[in-house]
Amino acid sequence: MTDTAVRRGQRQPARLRILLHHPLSTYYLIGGASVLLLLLGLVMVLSASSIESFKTFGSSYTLAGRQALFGIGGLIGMFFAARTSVQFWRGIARWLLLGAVVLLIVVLVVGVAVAGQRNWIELFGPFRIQPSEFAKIALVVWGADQLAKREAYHRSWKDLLIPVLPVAVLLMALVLMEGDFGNTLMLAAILCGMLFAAGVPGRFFALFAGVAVVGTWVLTLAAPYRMERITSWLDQSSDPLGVGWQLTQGYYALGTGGVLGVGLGASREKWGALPEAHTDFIFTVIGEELGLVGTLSVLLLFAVLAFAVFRLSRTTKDPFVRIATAGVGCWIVVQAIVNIGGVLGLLPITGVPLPFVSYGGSSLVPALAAVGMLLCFARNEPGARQSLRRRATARSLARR
Amino acid sequence: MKQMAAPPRQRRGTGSTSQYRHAVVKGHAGKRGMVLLIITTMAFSVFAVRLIDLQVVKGPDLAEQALSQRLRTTAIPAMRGSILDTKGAPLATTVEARNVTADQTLVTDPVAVGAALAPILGVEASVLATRLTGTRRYMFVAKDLSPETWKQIDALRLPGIFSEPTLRRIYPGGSLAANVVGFVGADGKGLGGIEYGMQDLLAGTSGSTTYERGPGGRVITTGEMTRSSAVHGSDVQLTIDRDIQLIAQRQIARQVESARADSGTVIVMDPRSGHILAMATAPTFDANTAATSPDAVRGNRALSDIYEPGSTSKVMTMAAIVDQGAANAGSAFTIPSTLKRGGKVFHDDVAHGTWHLTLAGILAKSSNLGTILASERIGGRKLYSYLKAFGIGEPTGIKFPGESSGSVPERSDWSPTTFPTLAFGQGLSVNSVQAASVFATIANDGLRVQPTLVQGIVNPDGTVTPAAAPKVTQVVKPSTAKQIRLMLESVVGKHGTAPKAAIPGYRVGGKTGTAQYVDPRCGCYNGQVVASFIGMAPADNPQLVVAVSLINPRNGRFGGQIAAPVFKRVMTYALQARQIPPTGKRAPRLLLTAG
Repeated sequence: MTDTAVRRGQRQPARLRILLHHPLSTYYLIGGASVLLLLLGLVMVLSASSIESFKTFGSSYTLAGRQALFGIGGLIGMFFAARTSVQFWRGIARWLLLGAVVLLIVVLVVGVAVAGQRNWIELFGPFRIQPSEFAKIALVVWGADQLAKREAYHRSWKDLLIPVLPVAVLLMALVLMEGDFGNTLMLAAILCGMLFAAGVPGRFFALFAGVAVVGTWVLTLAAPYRMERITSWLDQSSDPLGVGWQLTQGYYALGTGGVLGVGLGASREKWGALPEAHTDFIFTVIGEELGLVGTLSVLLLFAVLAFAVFRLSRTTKDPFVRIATAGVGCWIVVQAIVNIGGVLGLLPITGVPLPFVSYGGSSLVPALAAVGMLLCFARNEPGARQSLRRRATARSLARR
Repeated sequence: MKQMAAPPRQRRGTGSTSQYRHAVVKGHAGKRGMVLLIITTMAFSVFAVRLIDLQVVKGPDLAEQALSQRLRTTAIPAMRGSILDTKGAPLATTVEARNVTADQTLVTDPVAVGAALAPILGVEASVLATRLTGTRRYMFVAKDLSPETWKQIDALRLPGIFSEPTLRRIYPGGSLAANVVGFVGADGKGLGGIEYGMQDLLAGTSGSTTYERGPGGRVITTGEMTRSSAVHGSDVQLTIDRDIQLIAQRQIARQVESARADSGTVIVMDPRSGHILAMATAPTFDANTAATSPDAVRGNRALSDIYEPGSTSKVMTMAAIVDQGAANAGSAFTIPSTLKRGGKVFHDDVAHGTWHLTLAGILAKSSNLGTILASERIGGRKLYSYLKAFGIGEPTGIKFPGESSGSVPERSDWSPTTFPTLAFGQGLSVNSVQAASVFATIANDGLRVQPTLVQGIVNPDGTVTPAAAPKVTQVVKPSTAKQIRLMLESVVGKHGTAPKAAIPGYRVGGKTGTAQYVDPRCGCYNGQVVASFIGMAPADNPQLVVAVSLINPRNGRFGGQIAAPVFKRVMTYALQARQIPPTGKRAPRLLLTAG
């Protein structure tokens, strides 16, 4: 009796190991984790935005409906991105970069300011795009292409930095000019991730970190609201009605949720006390409604995503795939860390959304497109391609 | 073109430098991918610990702080109980009303809105416009409107105009029994009369709702909600009969005016139950607008004003003498024109030579000297104990706010003139209810039933708690009471002092009083009097006692002239209202003169 129990206990990890070593496991883990986060996000946006939406539009479903449209659009984008080839991405790299730079310059001219940041271009109706989000995917694809090319024939790592570093700095400068500090940070994360994957040695990152700290310090002195965010992060009682208030309400939400949460839809904080409940602070609403179980599940989904993405980056033989995957991985993981770290009071609040979960089409659609690109990479890995081909043959045989 | 060139270059690279890349970059990449995963895992682990800290360790504390930020408690007002008359008709009741409020920030055109409201509210449009102008989110426009008036306003659909439900105390009869019922202040709490005296019982206990709300005031529907319902106030049922009260008030008001008296009271009592059927005061006030009435008219003079009863008090002296067997109605007395007692010369109201009167004659003519002579047969100590037994100087037992009990001087404080003075009703003080109660005791065969004003309490659940049984004491023998009643009938007869009190068809007994009144301004006697008449009917089987008093009449002076007619009208109405038939017998004639 104990024998079978022990054996069953041993069999489980063995089966898991087999599953994880399946050639398509990376493909399914990336797709599965992203789609689950997206679906959870849709449900939580519906809950968290219902009060704000009703107040503004007279219907609790307006914002959630828009997010659903963004989600469907993003999934379609992801589907098509997954069906492309690695060559396709390398082919459009320069055009993506060119488009991003043009949009970033256009937004400086015709941009609309939302919440202190002049980084939106109005489209039709309620739709508008944020070029800085678009710039992230552009930097990933173009940067990876450049780094992969250079890696092939340059011996010194310093050759890798030209022209990726100056272009990335230009993009960051443009995004910063819009006042979008959060996405500047994300561009830096992407750049670091890609350079790291390309093999740039550690001392460069030490230097880069030094520059980032000094840069942040200068920028903080330049913009008073950033200083406020820092001080309120360091001393949460200093500003009980501003950012400190928001942080406190976030803690209240998490505390109220406890282990099991108050139940889906039953958040109290979303009734006006917690600002940005459906965007930057949606993680705390998850914590309130679904409890520790919900917040740890979100962390787990991001961890699974990170595991699969970094494994793809680690195991691929294609340098472009390795570097681009590391860039997307750093983008999503760092953005999640900055967002969650912010609402947990462990990092300053920078106003970046939680990837796949927070309300907002212009961050959701590029993120899903990037995931689509990773899916494309994953299914084009040699083992995966074989497995897919075998499956297609079996299917056509069965049909006969 | 260059783009097309890139892949072959890469393919070439894979071929020739693959050894180099595998050795340096691939190994590097493998390690570096692991580093990124480890950093991620570490960050997430820190987050997990922080989440356990916030959601589990500090969770309950944070949840409690969050809850206290959201919880609000609002009171649910308790419905104040009604004050009812003996038949259940409301004398005071609470109705739902509306306060009209404005959110000034939502009123776009104060002048137009003011003009629209003005005809409905009866307030000047300009006054309303000022109340509607400004930035206040909450401002009263009008208070205590009827629900119908609010419907009219609501139909206009004016922006920024709101209402809130409230409760309003109304007195359907206006001044009807106002001095008994009392009135409430702006906060709805009793300030006078029964409203004040029985405040706790009438008010009930207000309940409360506790709910969670967002910063904007929106009620969080998924939040906690607890309600403790209000316990409504009890109804107080009085012994007052609304119809008799109305007639009593009208008659005394008319007589106070025509006699140009300071004030007047009428008490109507059922002598067998002790129930006070009417307690009228003039001048009076409208309880609905009590705040604008002077203090002087808002009290209940029937219980708060005391005066020396004068001749009506002789009933007690006579009852004591007869009860002690010292004399009877026919006992003869020789009364000189003046009498010297304790160094003071006493005389009667009318100058006379030597009178030969029976005891009945002394009462009928209200002779002070005859009463002194007769009372000397029982002595001061006996008289004093009878006065106390009749309830003089004791609280009436009604427990009415502001009641004065009056007084009899203690035996130890007596001077040589005290005893003769007390015998004819000066030197002691009573209120109107006490004076009426003396006659009720005679009417009820010497059995004194403590006067009662509150008949019972109707509890919020509909059950009725009757008032405690009144205290009952046998003050004089039934035979004594009967003899005194016969003597009182002769007062109303042709040769008595109050033929004007006679009611055709009924046997009526009573006694006039014209007592000297201490002018409250100087605390001295300066010619002011209290004119009174207290009587009962039917005299051979009394079912009603009516006591009338007028303080400081300037037009007329004697109780038989100005108080007796009021008695007659009120008693006539009360007999009909209570459907009391005449006994059909004729009064036996008592000998009034002796010798």
